[in-house]
Amino acid sequence: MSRLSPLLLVVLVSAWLAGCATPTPYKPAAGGFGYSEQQLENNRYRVSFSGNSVTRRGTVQDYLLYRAAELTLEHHHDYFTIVNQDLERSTSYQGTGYNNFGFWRPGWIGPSNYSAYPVDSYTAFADIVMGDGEKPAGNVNSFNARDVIHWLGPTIERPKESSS
Amino acid sequence: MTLMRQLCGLVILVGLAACTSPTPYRAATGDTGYRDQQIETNRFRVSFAGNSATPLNRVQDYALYRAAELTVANGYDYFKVASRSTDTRGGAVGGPSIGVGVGGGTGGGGGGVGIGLSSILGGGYPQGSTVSMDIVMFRGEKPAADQSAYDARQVLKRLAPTIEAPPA
Repeated sequence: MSRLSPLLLVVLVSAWLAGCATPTPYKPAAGGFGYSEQQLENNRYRVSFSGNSVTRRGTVQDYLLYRAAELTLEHHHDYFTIVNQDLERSTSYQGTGYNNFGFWRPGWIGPSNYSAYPVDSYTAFADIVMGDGEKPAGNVNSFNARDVIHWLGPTIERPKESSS
Repeated sequence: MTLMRQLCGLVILVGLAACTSPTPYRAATGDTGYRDQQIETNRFRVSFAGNSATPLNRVQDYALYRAAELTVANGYDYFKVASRSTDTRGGAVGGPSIGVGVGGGTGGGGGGVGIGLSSILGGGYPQGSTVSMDIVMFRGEKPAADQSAYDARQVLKRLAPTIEAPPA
């Protein structure tokens, strides 16, 4: 294994990086990444969406709003008001690269590349209260659920159907 | 005897100062620039992400400028900031540097010369600040008493001199 060719190593590293390079799709979290909710009162929920390290912050926020709108319609309400929201960032560090000299014993010429970089992932939370009829005009934190579904719908990426 | 007859090492380290220039005002390409996402008929999320050489106040100005631009482009007059967040990422490594090491040695019947080139580039991942705003747009005079309301045309006029377009 110490004679592992540098080329093979590069291929392996890229394959590994490609493997986790898919943003979290719109799906229930089920303990991992995705959306989840907790009912707090009859018409109040805490909604959250948790994205993996390649999910953009804006996407996490969009998916959270989309879930809030979806829940509102599922419960036969028309609008929701965000009463509290939060965004959590967690950072981990990942190393990447390879060291030619370490693996290629003769080691007379060749590049070596190793670095560690921060990897951020975001979780967005919102407490929402659902209401019926027209949203209150004066409250900028009130969202028309159908309007949100209309505008964010095209950005939603659902999990690829695997053979099931 | 073929002991190490010669051992010479030469190490040149060249540290190049960060030659990054601040992010200009432009739509996001990769990690920096502005992005917008429509959320409701009159609501957008606007964000501007600057690189590590872009000061936070400039990032804030550019996000506001984009909000004003969108407001006018969509036929509205003023916008209210419903929520705003700032995300700052510090550099975990120092500024970009390039090190070149040249070493030579002979001995033991074999000879070898090694040239090592290593680079630690700080720009390989996003650094800097991002300001993100959820804005709601309205028509008519902005309510004088509402401090979260911005007159779009006034913002455009005041911030225009600070806007730096990307080099042609």
